[in-house]
Amino acid sequence: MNDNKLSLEFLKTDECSFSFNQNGFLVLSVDGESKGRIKLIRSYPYSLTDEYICVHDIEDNEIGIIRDLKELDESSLNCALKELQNRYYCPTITSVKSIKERMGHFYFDVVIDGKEKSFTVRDLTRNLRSTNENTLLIFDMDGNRYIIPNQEKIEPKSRRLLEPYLY
Amino acid sequence: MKIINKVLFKLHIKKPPRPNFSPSGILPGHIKEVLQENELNTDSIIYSLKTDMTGAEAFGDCYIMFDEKGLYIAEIEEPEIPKKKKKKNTPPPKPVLHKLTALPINEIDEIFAEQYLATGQLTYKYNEEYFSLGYFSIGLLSKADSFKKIFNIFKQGKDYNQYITGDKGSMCQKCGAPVPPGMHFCKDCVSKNSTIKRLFSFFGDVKWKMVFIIVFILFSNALNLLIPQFSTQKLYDEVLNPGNTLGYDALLKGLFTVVLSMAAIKIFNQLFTLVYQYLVAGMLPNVIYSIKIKIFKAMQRLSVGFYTHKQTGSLMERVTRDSNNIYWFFVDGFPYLIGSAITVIGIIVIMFATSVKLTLITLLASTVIFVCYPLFHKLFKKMHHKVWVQHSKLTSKVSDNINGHRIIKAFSKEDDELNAFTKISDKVRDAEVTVANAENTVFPILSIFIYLLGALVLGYGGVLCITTDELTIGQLLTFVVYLQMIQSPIDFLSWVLNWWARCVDSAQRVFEIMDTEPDVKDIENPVILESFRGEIEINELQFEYEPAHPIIKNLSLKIGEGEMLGIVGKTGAGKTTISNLIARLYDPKEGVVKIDGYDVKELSSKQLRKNIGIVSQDIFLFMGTIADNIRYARPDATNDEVIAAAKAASAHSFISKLPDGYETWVGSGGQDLSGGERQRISIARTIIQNPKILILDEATAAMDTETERNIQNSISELKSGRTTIAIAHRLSTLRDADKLAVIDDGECIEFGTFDELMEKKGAYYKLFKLQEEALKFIGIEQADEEDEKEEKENER
Repeated sequence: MNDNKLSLEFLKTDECSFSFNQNGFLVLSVDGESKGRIKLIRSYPYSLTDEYICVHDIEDNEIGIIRDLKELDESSLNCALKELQNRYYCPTITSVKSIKERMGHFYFDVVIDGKEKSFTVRDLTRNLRSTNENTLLIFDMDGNRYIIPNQEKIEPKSRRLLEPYLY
Repeated sequence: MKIINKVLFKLHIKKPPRPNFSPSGILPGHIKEVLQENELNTDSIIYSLKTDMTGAEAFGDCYIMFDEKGLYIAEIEEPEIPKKKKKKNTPPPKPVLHKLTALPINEIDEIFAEQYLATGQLTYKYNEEYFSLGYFSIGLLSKADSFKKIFNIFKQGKDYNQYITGDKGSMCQKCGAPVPPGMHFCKDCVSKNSTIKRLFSFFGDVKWKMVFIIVFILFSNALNLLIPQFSTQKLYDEVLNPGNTLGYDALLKGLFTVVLSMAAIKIFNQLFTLVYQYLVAGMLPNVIYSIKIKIFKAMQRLSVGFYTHKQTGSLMERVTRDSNNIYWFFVDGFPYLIGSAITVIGIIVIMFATSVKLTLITLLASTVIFVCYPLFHKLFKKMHHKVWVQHSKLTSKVSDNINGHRIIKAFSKEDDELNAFTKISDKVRDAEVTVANAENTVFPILSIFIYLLGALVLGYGGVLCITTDELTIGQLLTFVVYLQMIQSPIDFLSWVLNWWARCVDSAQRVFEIMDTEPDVKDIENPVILESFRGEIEINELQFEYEPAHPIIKNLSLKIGEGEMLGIVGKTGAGKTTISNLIARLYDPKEGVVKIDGYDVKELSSKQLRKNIGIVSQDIFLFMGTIADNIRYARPDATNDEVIAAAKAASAHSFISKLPDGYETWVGSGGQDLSGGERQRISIARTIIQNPKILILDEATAAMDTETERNIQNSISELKSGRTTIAIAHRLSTLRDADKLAVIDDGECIEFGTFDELMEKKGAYYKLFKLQEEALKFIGIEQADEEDEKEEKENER
């Protein structure tokens, strides 16, 4: 057996403190030293949303990785979660009203946050993607992205409409 | 399409653009009005951006704009225009301004467009501090990026006007409404039946054959309907009727008439069938041939960008499976569809003529079948789709496995792969078992029902026969025969819709290829140069494959006729992109590439590419012989020229050792050649092309030192008399370059001769020293020096 296991170094969460500055941007200080405005990036955006979070500075250089956000103190945790929520916000489709096909273009009428929205999707094999977690991602012609967090749990009518197009 | 749209289209009148639709960067009139009412002078606005979010997670209309004094953010609610106006002359609802924020222009240093997962954020910097301007959906990133760029240029005091294009985006060619890029018509203007119309347009050249086919199908089925009239009704009522008083001869004559009539009808029926099947078989392969040629032609027309965004499998399917889906529907389905429709109508008419009461009872009972069939077919369609999905996953797994067989073996993952395959196979089996079980339950139940229906008709008909004179025994038996005859066409008609849906589905994918406009296309009258010199000038070039991800940022270079330029830089610096832009495989976002003083966009791309030869690190050999591959660019090259080119590319020595020599089959399924051998064939292919501009993109990156040396020598021969651009990581390969350019992050950071750059002691110097030390470490320099000594001695 080989004992040389790969090891990954993580940021020491007890030394990290996240907060929002007066302009609403997330800043980090490590052991009292300010790292300025930072970006949080999920390594596994669908399966482990709060784990393996990469911390980058504004120039996109990696400062380090946080193993699990839950290791942070409450105030830092809330700030980090809020930042991730903003950065990874994706319009969630709650219901599909209709899917019409014309000349290879699929016109979706859906409900997002209680409001009706329409968009066009082309090449369904590429732009309707299921993840391992049963999440359905839809990409429209403008490059916008929409999400159905769990296709099994969406209302039956919407599922019936979507089913013929799932691959 | 709405009636008004139809009328306007017929009259060739374009509907005016919708009120909230205006060219990019310019405020729409109704928004200007609202802002002016709030004392904002909109006439001085330089550029504006409409976003669709008012917060990180809140959707809403928002306009961000700037003039010479300030930057303004206006949250405006634009009421939706109702689809149907209640009253004429009702003014459209007015936008409502919720919030207007103004920022002094001197308190903004620079604007940034940041990209998140599904959204983006515009931020600005002032005194090294960041502030937020607003959010937008990721689809608007390109527009936000333009806004950022124009603002930053304005702040730098440079001329920003050339960047305000007033681009209206794509518009529907019928009603003028905005449509996503790459589309010509909006949803409202595309007819539901347009695909069907276009599908039938493939048959335009053979419409008379189609008419004949339909007429023959008509005759064939009409005759088929007559058979029970003779075989049952006439036989029972006029010949076998026990109450018949006719003599023996007359009965025999009647029997002969029935038999002969049946035989004659069957012969004519078969003759008509034979003729239409012959016509169909002769016509359809030609139609499908023309569809395949049209798809392939359309694919050749498309730009490189299209191929990088599509999976090879999906494109292959369109040429093969989709056109075959269309083929089989028209070969098998279409004639049978017409035949079935005629049979059903004919039988119902005959049934009514035989007995109205019995027909009404039959139709009443049949409604159960008419209701059940579509329901069951919907259910089965869903089940079949699931089977299809599992099958396609299984096919993908097999294809993945075959392509990655070396890796699987190297990692000893055969068992894991087998397990994964078994899991998917299990799902395929389960899905198929579910369908089979459902079919085996539903269809016997339906068959019993149909059988009972036949028994009901027979029973009620028997009562009518015995108690009244309304029906003879012959008529009753004929009726039952027709009832059996109608089952199969009804069954067919109920599921032919699925087949038709699959055919239309395939047709849509085929049309998608045909309708896609290439990103790179020639202007109407391109310039054809009398002689191609090969002088290249690149001015302020900018390029990005994806919006807001610039690859080339601001690049300017000049290469004289017959000169050699060496390009060096880190991986991902944009070196290959430069060669793609010179060959016009893509068009730049900004800036210009000039060849012999002409913008490449003005030149004929055929002439341009004939005069540019690219030897890249991605070597592709087509299926065929080595000689075929070498003469790919010039099929008329003689055998002498092929060998001469191979010699020049140091390929002749290994080719001549192969048992089949220049006739060795290469490409998919052909002779296994090493990377160096394949590369040398591709160099020979470029040599035979005799281009004026030669681009060597890491041409020797995968070679050992000796092969590289051989190829370098062949390239040295090749570059005489032509402009050469050599992209390389190994600086030793650029020793003959007249000029060198160091590219970093899409920009040219150093440019000059070898001596100039070494003297400058900048990026090139550092790279050179780094590589020199690395080579020293592995003892290559010594070998190189010894080689050089040997060469010099030989020269003496």
